[in-house]
Amino acid sequence: MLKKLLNIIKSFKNKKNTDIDKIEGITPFTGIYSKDIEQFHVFTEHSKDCILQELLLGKRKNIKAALIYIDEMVDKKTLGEQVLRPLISKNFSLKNILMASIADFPEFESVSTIEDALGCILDGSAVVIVQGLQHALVFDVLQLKDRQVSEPQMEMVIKGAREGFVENISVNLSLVRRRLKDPNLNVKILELGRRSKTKAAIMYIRGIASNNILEELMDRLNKIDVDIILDTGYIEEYITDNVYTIFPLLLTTERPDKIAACLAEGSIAIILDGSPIAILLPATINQFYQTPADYNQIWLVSTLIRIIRLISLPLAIFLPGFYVALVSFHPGMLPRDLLLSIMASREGLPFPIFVEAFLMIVIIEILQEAGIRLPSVLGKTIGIVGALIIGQAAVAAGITSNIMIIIIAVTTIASFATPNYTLEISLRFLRFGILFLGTTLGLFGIFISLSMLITHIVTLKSFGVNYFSPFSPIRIKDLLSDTVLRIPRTFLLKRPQTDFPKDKTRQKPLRRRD
Amino acid sequence: MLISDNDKISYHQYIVLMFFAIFEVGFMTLPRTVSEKAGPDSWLALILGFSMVVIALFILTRLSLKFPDKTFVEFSRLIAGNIIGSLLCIFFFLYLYCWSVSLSAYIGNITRVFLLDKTPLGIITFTLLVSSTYLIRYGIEPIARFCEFFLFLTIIPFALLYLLAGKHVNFGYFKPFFAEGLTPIIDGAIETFKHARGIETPFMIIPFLKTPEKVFKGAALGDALYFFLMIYPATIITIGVFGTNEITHFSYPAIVLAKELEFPGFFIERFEVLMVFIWYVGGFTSVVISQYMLSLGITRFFKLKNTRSMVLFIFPLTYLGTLTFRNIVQLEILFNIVNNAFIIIVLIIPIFLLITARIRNIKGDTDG
Repeated sequence: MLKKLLNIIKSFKNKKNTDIDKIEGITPFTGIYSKDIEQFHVFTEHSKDCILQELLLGKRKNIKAALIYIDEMVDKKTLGEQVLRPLISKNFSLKNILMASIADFPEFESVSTIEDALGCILDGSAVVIVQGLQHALVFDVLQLKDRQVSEPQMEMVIKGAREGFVENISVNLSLVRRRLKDPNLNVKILELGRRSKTKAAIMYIRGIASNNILEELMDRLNKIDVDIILDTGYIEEYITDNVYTIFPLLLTTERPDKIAACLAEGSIAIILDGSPIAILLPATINQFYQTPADYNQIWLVSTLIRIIRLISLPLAIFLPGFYVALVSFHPGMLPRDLLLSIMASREGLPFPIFVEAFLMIVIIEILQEAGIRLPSVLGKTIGIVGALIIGQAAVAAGITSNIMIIIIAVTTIASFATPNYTLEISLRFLRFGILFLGTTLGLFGIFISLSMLITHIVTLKSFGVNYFSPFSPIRIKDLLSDTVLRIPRTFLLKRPQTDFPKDKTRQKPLRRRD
Repeated sequence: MLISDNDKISYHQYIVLMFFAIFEVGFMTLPRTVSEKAGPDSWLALILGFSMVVIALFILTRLSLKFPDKTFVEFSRLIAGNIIGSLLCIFFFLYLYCWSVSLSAYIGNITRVFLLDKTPLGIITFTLLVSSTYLIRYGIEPIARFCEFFLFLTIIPFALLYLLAGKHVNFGYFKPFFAEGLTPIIDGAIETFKHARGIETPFMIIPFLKTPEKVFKGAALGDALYFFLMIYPATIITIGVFGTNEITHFSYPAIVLAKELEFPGFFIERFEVLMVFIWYVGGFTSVVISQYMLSLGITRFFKLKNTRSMVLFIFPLTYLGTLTFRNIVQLEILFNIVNNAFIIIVLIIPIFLLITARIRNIKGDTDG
C-alpha cells in the first residue's frame, strides 16, 4: 500500500521534471544551417543589441555561417582580429575546423545545443554557426566595462590595504587568491537565480572550515529557487537563520584582506558576481567590532581602540533613554550642580523632555539619510545646515536644550565608532525602543529593555553558531585575546573557537632569540 | 538544524545558573536578618549556614543523580507511588508559584521604593513578567546564556563597590566573640539557610545537563561563588561599617551602604542605582528560573509536549498572584510561608524519598 503511494508520488515528481524539461527544451544542432539559424533569428529580432552577422566562408565562398554576439559585451578588436579574420581567410575549410589546425586560429569551445549556445551569447561570448557542423563554436571575447579595483567605501582603514572588491567575480576571486596561496583554498561555483543565472563562489579552506556548516550552507543555497539574484542582500535573507531580527546575522565585507583573514580562521565566504560585497559566515557579534586595521597597529593601541569601541556601543544605544529616564524620573541621582545646569537650560522649553529627545533623534536620522543620498559635495552642506543651523537655531528658538543637543551628538558620534556599517544602522533603531521604555518606566525600564535585548541576542544563531559568543557562552580566552583586548599576534596560538574550526591551532609558539 | 544543543547546558553554564538561582531578592535584607539573630558572630553564622546549604545540596543531588534523565515530577511519583508522588509534586508547584509570585511582587515593591514612586505596582510587575516570559519561552539554554552574560557584570561592579567601602570597616563591631553562646549563631545560620532558596533547581534541570554526574559539584561551586563573592562581603562590610545595632534599623542595609559611598567628580552621585541594578539582575533571573521550573514541571506532570505554551499560561497566573500583595508587610508573611516550604522541599522531601526508595528497593537509572 505504502509502496504504491510512494510510486505514485515518484511518478508525479518525474512528470514535473519532464514538464520543466519541455519548457526549457533541448534542441541539438542539426548541421542544417537554415534550420539551426532560425532560433537565433527569433532571438535577435527581439533583442536588438544582439548582432547576427551572416558570412560566406571558404575558398569558393560557399559555406554558409553566422557570427552572433551581443554588441556591448564583446571586445570588437579581438573579435575582428582573432575570430573574423581566421574565419574569412582563404584556407578555411570544415576539415580544418574539425581538426582545429589553423595556425593562428584562437582557442574555442564547442557546444552542441542551441540553448547552450544562447547561454554563451548571453555570457558575452561570440558564437559561430557553420553549415554542416553539428555544434557551434564559442569564442570567449567578453569585455566588461569594469570598475577599477579601488579603495572600499564602506570599510575604510587608515593603515591597511587599499583594495576593495569590484563587481567582477573573477577579479574578486583573484584578489582573495593572491592573499591566500593555499592549495586547500577551495572554491565551489554555483549558479543562482533562474533568470539572472548569477554566478556565486563559495570559498573556504579545506581542513579549517567546519564541514557541518559548509553542508548546511550548500543545502540552504540549493533550496533557493527564485528568478533573480542581483546582490548579496538577496541571498542573505534566504540563508539566514532568523529573519525576524534587527541584527545582521551574516558578516558582509568588501575587503579581500578581511575575507582572507576570516577564511584562515575557519569562516566560509560567498562572493557573488555583480556585487562588490561578500558574505562571511558564520558571524559572531565580535567580528563586527574588528577591522583589519586593528592588526596593523601596535597591539596596545588597538586594544585601547577596541575598548573605546566597546564603550561607545552602549552609549550609542542607551544614552538618550538613560538621560531621559534620569532627568524625568530620578533627578536626585544627578549631582546637584549638573542637575541645576540641566534645569536651567531646559527652562522655558515648550516640550516635555521625551518629545524633545524624540524630535532630535528623528532629525538626526533624517539628516543621516539625506546625507547618504546626496553627492559628497552637497553632503557637506547638509552637515553644515543640519549641525550648525538647526542645532543652533533650535536652541535659540527655545525648541530644545543645549544639553539635549550634546546628548544626541554624542550618541550619533558613538554609533559611528562601530566599524561595521550594517551593524551600526541596525543598532541605531534600538534607541527608539529604549527611549520609549526609559520614558515610561525610568531606570527600571532601562533594565527591562536591557534584559529583553540580551534575551533577543542570546537566542540568535548564525549557522548554528551562537551569535553572541564569546560574550555568552563566555569564552574567556577568546574574549581576552582578540575581542575586548588584542594581544600580540605571536601569542594567538589558537584560532577563535566560535567558528568551530576543525584545525584549532594557528601557529606554534614563537621563540625569540636573545 | 545543524547544531541543536538548544536544550542542553554545559557544566560552566550550570554553575552560573546555580549562582543566579540562589542570588535573589533576599540579598538586600540578609545582612539585617542575620545580624538581628547572630549579632557580632554573623560572620560565623554565615559560614555555618553555607555548610548547611552544601549538606542540603548533597542530599538533594544524591536523589536527582539516581535518575539523571528525570525531573522531580517523574521520580517522585516513581518512588513514592502515584498518589503521594502527585501530592508532593503539587506541593512543589505551589512552592514554586508562591516563590515566583513573592519575588516579582517584591521586585515591584522595591522598584516603587527606590525608583518609581508614582507608577502603579501592576504596571511594574507586568513589564517585569512580560520580559521574563519572553526569556522563558526560549528554554533553558538561552536562560543559562542570559545568566552567563550578566555574571561578570554583576560580580565586578559589586566587588569595586565593596572594595571602596572596605576602608571604612571597623573590626571592633565583630567583638565580642561568642558572647551569647551557640544559639544565636545557629539561629543566624538557619536564617542564612532560608536565604538559599533556589538550590532545589537541580531537581528540575538535571535532564538538561551535559554532565549530569557533576550536578553536585557544579551546584556547590555556583553557590560558593555567590556566598563568598557576594553575600559574605556584603554582610561583613555592612556590619563592619554600621555596626550590628544600627544595621537593624535599615530595611535594606546593602543599599544604604551604597548610598553612603561617594566618588568626587563622578556624574552619578548615588551608587544605590548600581546596587539596585545588580539586585535586579539577581531577582529577575530567579523569577525566570522559578517560572521556568514551574512551567516545565506542570508540562511534565500532565505529560504535555509544549513547555512554550505553558509559559504563557503561567504568566497571567503569576501576575494575578502579584496583584494580591499590596505592600511589603503582606509579602513578608508570604516569604515566611515560602521559607518553611523551602526547608521541607530541600531537606524533608529528599530524605523521605531517599528512605522510601531504599525501603521499596527502587533502583535508580544509575544504580545499575
